[in-house]
Formats: sequence, structure tokens, C-alpha cells
Amino acid sequence: MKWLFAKRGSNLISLIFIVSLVYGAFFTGSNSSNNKKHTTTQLLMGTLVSITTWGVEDKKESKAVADAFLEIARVESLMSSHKKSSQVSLINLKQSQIVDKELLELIKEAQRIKKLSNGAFDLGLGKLITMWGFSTDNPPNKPPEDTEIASWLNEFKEGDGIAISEKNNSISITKQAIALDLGGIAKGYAIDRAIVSLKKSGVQNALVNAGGDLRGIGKKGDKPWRVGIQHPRKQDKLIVATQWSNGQNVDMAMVTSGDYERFFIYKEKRYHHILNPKNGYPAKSGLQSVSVQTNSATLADGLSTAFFVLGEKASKELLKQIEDVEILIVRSDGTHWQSKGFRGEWL
Amino acid sequence: MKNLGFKFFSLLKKATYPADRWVMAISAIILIALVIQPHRAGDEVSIYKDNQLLMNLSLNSDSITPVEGRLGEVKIEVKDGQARLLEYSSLRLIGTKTGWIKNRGEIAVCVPCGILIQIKGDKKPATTEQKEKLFDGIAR
Amino acid sequence: MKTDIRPDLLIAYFAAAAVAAHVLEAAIPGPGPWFKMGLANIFTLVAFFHLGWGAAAIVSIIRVVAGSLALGTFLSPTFFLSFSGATGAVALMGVVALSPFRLGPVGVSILASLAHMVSQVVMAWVLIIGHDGIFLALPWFLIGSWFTGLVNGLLAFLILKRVAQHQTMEIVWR
Repeated sequence: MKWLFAKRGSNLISLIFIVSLVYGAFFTGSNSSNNKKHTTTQLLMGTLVSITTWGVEDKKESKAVADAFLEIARVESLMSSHKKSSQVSLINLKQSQIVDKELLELIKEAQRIKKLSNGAFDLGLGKLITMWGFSTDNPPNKPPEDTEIASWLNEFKEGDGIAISEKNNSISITKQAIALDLGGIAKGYAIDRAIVSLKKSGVQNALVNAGGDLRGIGKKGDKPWRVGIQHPRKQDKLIVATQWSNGQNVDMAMVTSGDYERFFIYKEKRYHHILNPKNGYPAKSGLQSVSVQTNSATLADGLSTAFFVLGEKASKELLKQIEDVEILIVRSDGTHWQSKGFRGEWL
Repeated sequence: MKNLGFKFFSLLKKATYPADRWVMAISAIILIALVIQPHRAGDEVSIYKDNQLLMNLSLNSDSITPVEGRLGEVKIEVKDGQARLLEYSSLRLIGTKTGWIKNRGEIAVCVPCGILIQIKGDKKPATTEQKEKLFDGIAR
Repeated sequence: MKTDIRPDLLIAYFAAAAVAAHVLEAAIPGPGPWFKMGLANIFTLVAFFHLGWGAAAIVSIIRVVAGSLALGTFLSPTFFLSFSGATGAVALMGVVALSPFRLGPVGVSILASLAHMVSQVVMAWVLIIGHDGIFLALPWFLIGSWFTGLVNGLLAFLILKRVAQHQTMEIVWR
């Protein structure tokens, strides 16, 4: 190479310097280990579930995320009333069943939320939900007969109907009209379990998003997790930007219930999937959506359904009785209200 | 042949200033670096059924690939560097997103079919300004 | 280093030579508009080093326009590709002229050749192709440009040597 350059030594050094500069410039850009945020998405629980982590080394990250997804799948197979082999389905089938402690505890929690919300949230609406057909693969396009709903309501109305025996670890159904459907709380529970799994794998910064319900821990480096809340009517638009934390690590879940998630329009009326246990019809509470923030996704899930059914006034009353729960409501006319501690700026 | 080689290099030596040789060397290095770069993932779409990877398709050649979904056949179409789910035999779907996708990380899915397709690679925001506005998730 | 030929006549001769080279090359079958040697550029380079940037720009424009007229591709997509390539190359030559580096025909030719290819591909992307896949092939095209730039530069050097040595214009045709 003697002939190439006028002066040997220094030029060779410059050349090496430039080579490494160029190489570095081209390769660090595309190098994945420099990209500290990583998202994996799977199809679970009938929706898209994304787990985003920050600052976790590649191999560890894939394993932690895979384990978290497995945990979600496990919860689904335990609790989904769509899966005929799940314990919940077995309870519904046999009217009494010995269950895992985990399911027992979840049902206890569901009952607690039911009591707290005065029945606005109810885990025993299985037969009603089947009647309306929102959970099937072929969405409905017209409501069930009024007489069907009336007769269900008649049997369902009085009393509790779900007996929990801690001694035997069993759940029993004592009313015919009742079938367990944990749809209003199971997603939140799965999210919580995914977070537990991630923490166990040593992940400290993560965001789990299951079909629009989320829980986030930690942050992205020096920036907080940033989530946008979708407009209830316009899919491409966002109405609120929520940031997890202002400096301190915040572990928070946010679940939204709305009349736009599953619905159909029949004779110009909108029929959505959040059913009111008091009358058997989709809740008409003057709201388009309710977003709940609290530290448990399970609680947020159940409460968001409850608040939606309760409506604005009763929700505000309920809020006074519980701590560490913040909400945002979007009314049918498009106006909104949020509790003081709700993290989010209207956009 | 060797003679020709020497002739060529001596001509080269005469015809170039040092600056010319720098230009030659640096441009050559840059080009080589560009060429040996690993195949950027934004050129492939991954197809998953029930969260298991079925195959990867290149976005560089147009194709229509049939895949067996839970409710019947689903066709994945690749055209002009984009991909989409083309047809599926089930009736009315609750698919989350079913249009054309082309950017890294983008997803299209047929939920009841159990089929999900995603452009390989991590999402890359185009500018730092977009990075600021970026949301880590959408709540709904 | 000037000869005793009027500069504008010299430009005309260079331009004529460039057009001839362009047309000749078009007659040679090849894989596509990007796989030519670009021999016409030799004369642009000669004009650049002998008469300056302005002359090179003129030779370039004449080459593109007259060449496309001769080939019947005036104002066609091919013309715009050619034009964009020449523009890129000339622009780069302008930058070189203004810079303090002492470059000879080889260096300028390689740089101009690379700039020519990049401009052409971008124009093709805008006008014809539209999707980003074309940029994947670009590094390979550029490698070709590097080599043709090198060869053209050497040929320009040889011509320049003769042009500088002799005083009459017959040299250009020798």
C-alpha cells in the first residue's frame, strides 16, 4: 500500500480512525442492543397483548416476556368461560366445583367489588351475556327478545347466588339464572399476573397492554411511560395523554370501559356490551367511557365496569368511599370530568 | 497480464494527487460498509398463528400466501413493500387492524382466525421530534 | 493552462464529443439506464479541469439535452433521469471547485459518478418506483459507479495531458 499515500505512518492511523468512525456510525444505528425499549405482541384473550420492556438485555428480555405471556395464557385457560375446560366453565356446568385457591381469591375479590358497587359489577351474568352474544366470534346484530331478558331478570333478581367455601376450596352456584363470567375482571387479573411474572424475572421497567387495558411499572430511562387514551368515537384520535410518574417510579394500572368496544347498531340504537345487572340491558348511564387508574389492574378492570354502569353521580359517591382510585369519564355529549388525582392531560 | 497490472497502477499513481487517493479510499470504505450491513429487518413480515411463528415473507417480492387459520384459510398478500391480510372465510370479524402495513413493528391481525402478521424489527421513530410525541401504548 | 483556441469553441468541441459518446453508448445494449460507463462524462471532466466549472456545467447540459434530442428521448422519463444525474454531478463539481482540496480528475470523477448515481436513483424513486426497496440496491449501483468513475477519471487524465501539451484542437480527436 506504499504507493497509495504520500506519508506512511500518520495516514495509516487516520485511515484506521476513519474506518472505525464510519463502521461505528453505520452499525450502532441498527444494533438492537442499543435500542433499550422492546415490544412483543401476542394474540391472547381474544385481543392483542403487548409487553414493552425497557433497559433489559436481549436474552433476558425474551425469556422474561415469554414467561409473562405464558402466565397470561395460563390465567386465560383457568378463567375463561369460553374455554370449555376452564375451571370457570366447570363451575357453570356442574354448579359446584373445587377450584384453585387463586380462582377462589379472584372470585372473592369480584364479590367484594360487586358489594362495593351495589351490584353494578356482577360476575354472574354469564347467561345474560350469552343471550346478547357479545362474546362469540360472530358478533350479534340484533338484541334478544324482551321476554327472554325479562324472564332471566326475574330469576336473577333476588339474592346472591354464589357460595364460596373457603374450607373446601369450592365455588357453588345456587341460582339457575347465574353463570359465572369473569370477563369484567379477568383481563385485569391477567395483566397483574404478567407484571408479577416480569418482576420475578428481574424486569423493573415494563408496560403491559392487553387490548387497551394497561399496567406500567418503572420508566424508560429518565422518561415516564406515556400512554394515549383513544377517542371513544374516532379510532385514530387520542383524547388524553397519560404519563406514568413525574420523577418517582409509579406502578399504576389503567383500564377503560366504553360503549364502543363491542357494540352493534339496531334500528338506529346502539347496543353495547356493558350490561346493567338491574335491567338486563346495556347500561344507559350517560357515559361513553370510564377510565380508572389504581395500583391493581384487577381492581381497575372491575371498577371501570362498575363506574360505567353506575353513571356519573353514583360513581362520584362511590369514589368518596374508596382510596387511591382515580377516574376519567367521558359523557355521551363528549364533555369530560376527571378526579383530581387522575394522571392525564386532555389533548 | 501482470505487466498490464503494473502499467495500470503506475498510471494511477501519476494521475492522482494525495487528495484523490483519500477520496478513493474513503468512498470505497463507505461503500463496502453499506454493502455488508446486515439485512435490515424492515424487509420481512412474520406470520404467526396462535402466537407461533409460521414463516417469514420477504416484502421485496409480491406474493399471495395462504395460511390455515382457526376459521379457515387466510391469505397474506405482499405488494409494493407492504403486507396485508387479504381474505378470510369467516363472516364478520373483530379484527383489530386489517389494512396494509409496511413499517417495522406494525401489526395486522384477524383475532378469531388466530392469525397475526407483523413487520419484523423494532419500531423506529423517524425523527427525534416524533420520538417525543411517541406513545408507548394506546388505552381504550 | 490555456490553449490558443477560443474557450467557447473548445466547449463546443467538448460538448460535441460528449454527445457523440452519449449516443454511442446508448447504442450498446445493457441491463438498464444505470449500467452504462458514462463515457460522456469524460468530456465534462476535461472541460472542468481545463476551463473551469462553468464550462463543465455547459458541456453537461448540452450533452443531456442534445443527446436526448438525438435519441428521441427528450422530456421522457429517461431524460429526467439523465438530467437529474448530470445536475447532481455538476453540483458536486461546484462544491469541489469551491473547496480547498486539490483534487485531480480521478477523485472528482469518482465523486461526481457517485453523486450522479444517487441523484438518478432519487429521481427514479420520485418519478417511477415509489417504494423504498430501490434504496436497497443503491449500494451495489454505487460500487459500479465507483469503478466507472475511476476509469473515466483516468481517461480524462490522459486526454487532459494531451490537451495541455498541444496547442491545437486536433488533439481532442486524436
